[in-house]
Amino acid sequence: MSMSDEDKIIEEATTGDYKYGFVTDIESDLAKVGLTEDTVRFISAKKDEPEWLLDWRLKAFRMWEKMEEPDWAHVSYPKPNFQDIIYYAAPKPKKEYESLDQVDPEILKTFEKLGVPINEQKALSGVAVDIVMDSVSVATTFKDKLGKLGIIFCSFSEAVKNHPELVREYVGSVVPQTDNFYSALNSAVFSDGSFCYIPKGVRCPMELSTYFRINEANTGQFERTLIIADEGAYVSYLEGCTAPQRDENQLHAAVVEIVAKKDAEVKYSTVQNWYPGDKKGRGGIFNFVTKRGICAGDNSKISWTQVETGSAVTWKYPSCILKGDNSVGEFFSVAVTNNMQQADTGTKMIHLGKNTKSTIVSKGISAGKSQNSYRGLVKIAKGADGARNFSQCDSLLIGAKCGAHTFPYIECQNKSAKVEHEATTSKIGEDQLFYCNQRGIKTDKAIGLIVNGFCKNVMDNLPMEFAIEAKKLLEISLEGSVG
Amino acid sequence: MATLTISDKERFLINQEGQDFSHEAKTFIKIRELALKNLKDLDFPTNKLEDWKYTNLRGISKIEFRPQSAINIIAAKVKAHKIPNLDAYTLVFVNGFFSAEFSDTAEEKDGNFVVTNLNTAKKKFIKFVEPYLGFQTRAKDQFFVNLNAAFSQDGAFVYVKAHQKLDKPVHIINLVDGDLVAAYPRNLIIADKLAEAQVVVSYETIDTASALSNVINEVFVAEGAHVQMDKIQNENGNTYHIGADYAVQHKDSTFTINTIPANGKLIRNNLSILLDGTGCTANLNGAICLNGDIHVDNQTYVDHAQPNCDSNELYKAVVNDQAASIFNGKIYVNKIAQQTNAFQSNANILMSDDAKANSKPQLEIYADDVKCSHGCTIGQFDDEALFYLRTRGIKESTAKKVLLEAFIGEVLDNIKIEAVRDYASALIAKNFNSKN
Repeated sequence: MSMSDEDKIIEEATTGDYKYGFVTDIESDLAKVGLTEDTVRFISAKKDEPEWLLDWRLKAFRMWEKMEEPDWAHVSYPKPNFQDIIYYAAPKPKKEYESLDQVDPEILKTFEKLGVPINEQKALSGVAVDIVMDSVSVATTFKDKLGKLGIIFCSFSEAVKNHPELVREYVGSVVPQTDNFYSALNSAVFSDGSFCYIPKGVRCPMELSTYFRINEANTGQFERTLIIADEGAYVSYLEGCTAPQRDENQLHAAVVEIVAKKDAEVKYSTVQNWYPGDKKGRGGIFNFVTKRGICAGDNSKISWTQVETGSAVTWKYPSCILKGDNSVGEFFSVAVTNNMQQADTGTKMIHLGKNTKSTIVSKGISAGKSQNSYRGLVKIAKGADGARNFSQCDSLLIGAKCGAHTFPYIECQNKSAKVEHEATTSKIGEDQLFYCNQRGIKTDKAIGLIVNGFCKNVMDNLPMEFAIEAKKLLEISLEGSVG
Repeated sequence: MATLTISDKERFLINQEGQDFSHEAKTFIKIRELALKNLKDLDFPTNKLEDWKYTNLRGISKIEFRPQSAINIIAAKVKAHKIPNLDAYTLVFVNGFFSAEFSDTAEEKDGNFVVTNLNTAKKKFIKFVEPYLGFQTRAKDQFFVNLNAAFSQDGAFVYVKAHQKLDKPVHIINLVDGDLVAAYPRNLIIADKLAEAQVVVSYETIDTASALSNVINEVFVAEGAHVQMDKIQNENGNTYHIGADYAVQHKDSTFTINTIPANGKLIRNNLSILLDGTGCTANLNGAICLNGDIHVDNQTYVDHAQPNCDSNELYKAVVNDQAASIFNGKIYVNKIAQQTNAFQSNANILMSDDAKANSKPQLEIYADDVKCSHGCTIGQFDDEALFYLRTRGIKESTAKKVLLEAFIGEVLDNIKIEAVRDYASALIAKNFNSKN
């Protein structure tokens, strides 16, 4: 094929518009613009929170005021004005819903467009959905079934009301309020989120799923998720998001905390598709997320799988603290950046216990004028005898104006540890394309094949329904050259 | 009356003053003045700086290091630091000052090359020195680069004319003698079009007194030229060595630098290679075997500014006792540098519970038609290989030595001069044998 054809395909691939940009019209209950101690008190009062939580928020707020925004990540963006953000927006409470018929049809329509499995048919496919729409949970399904097993799966506010002892014990135990600038901000003003507790020895029979969606113009989204797997428990948790098109940058600073006790296993999967901004880089979500899990007990396991296709700026490092002996941490990631997107993502694996193992597989695909960075830390502490790490980060470049970067940190203080790290960067192989062309496969199909093959061992780690959606997102993100 | 307090840095800088450089040409004095100006705004790097995350040098600012010229150097002591069986033009510097007595300069031998000290070159060959000296080191942000630029006493000057080859290697011996010496040797190596040169730089100390070696090597490799540099750091266990090596390569040139940081208290090497022409090849190798409580930090920066260049990096470390080995390699591929091949490999073996290895191999890539990779491992000697050797009646200590030779040997093979390779290999074996 001629050069110009190839250019055209790359052109198409790198100029694809966001397909999920639409706005749902629902009235919102808004907080005043800006952030002061009063805002924190307003949010806390609005949510009818106990005093200890207000104190906890205020402590975080006071620390946040003293902190500075970090600038070490390989991204550049106009710094958000924190006094220009509405920190609380809740869909107007109508009444408690008993069935889906009572839910605002606008909301249902939105989810239908997204293909969210909220209706009864979808329920049969075994997915319990706790929908977070503009920060407040609207509907929760499967609660009874889960309740019988002792599993608590509800919004964060409900958990504060119904299970304060659990929330109080674990909130901030993995990501302290003062961990970083954005976690402090989140701790001060978090609106809602999900809470999940799996009791001792229970294997959660279905995949738990939450769909996040930013909906109100100019509202920051500050979610807080807390997952606790007690001894011997197992849960697979899904989080996915798409957001409507916006002109102004929106800030998203979530915190996710996972606690895995002895013999417990938590699998956390994300598909992230926040609005990435238009071709010129206008608008788009700033996604500054702190995600961390602790393998607190022996033989526990935490596995992160993420597919990142959205956001104007992503700044996200799902991490594992491997404290228990024989604990396992995993991180599988596909990050696609297109147009003017910037992503600085990776993981931290902190080995403290003996015979701890971690695996990192990161695949970055850059197209357009985007910048895609992997940043990771593997730390083997002195007492982590027999620790083992394997890391692989590969980058694929599509087009001549994008960038792919790798910043791994490897720190080892134990002689019996084994750490391996390898990274490659290359463009789609001419020979591979030629091979496909030769067999009658068009170049755009061939690129699709190669990209899918490139990401395969990450996609394989996603639960099946999710893998299909993720694949679809990948295709949309690179449309024209993929699939 | 208010008391006048001065910072550690200011006191340190005052200690360095008192040298008279007024005899130098204006152009060189300017370099010093600029560096002094930069030093005003800079401070000793701490691990708050990303590039110094694993190495903190604040401690140095509190030690009263001073430039000192050496008196009464005994020939036998100098001779002890020569590399056995090495036939080379030898230039000896003591505490950063040129020691003509022990050196054999070769000024324009057959009109093909110059091997002399920098101060002589600054007068006699100013037309060669002026365009190059300090050209790469105008880094405003590097404290130690500016420190050397401001206070450097002397150094080696090697110039090879176009189409010429140095008939034997140049061996630059940097000795430190005395108590709390601050030495600032600075070498300038220029290989003109299609020229060829081999340079060996060794850093040694005469006794065990604490010292600061703040060194710079600047290398210019013109079109089609080949330069190989071997750098051996074998100073006493109380000496801080902070070095920076800069190389600029033009079209189709090759530059190889082999670093062997063997002994010292703290060694920091900043390698910065600019591939400023198409078809260049740069090879950066490090053979590291450490014992005691030495802290070695190797930083490399390869800037692929032009298309079609290759760079290869291989750093291997064996870390014993409480030693720490740090590797921070960065490959930067410019937007226009298509068809870049850049490879980086860092392997570490930890031999003791208190040993440390940190590694940060980075890629920053802005071009799409590239092949770049890096690999990093931290581990142990292969148990099975060890077992295999032992089943064949080889005792454990010998077997380990065999494995060490195989591990580090891959790096040492890049040293082309046999005498230097033997010398480096002996230093490494000695460090390994002390405990194992």
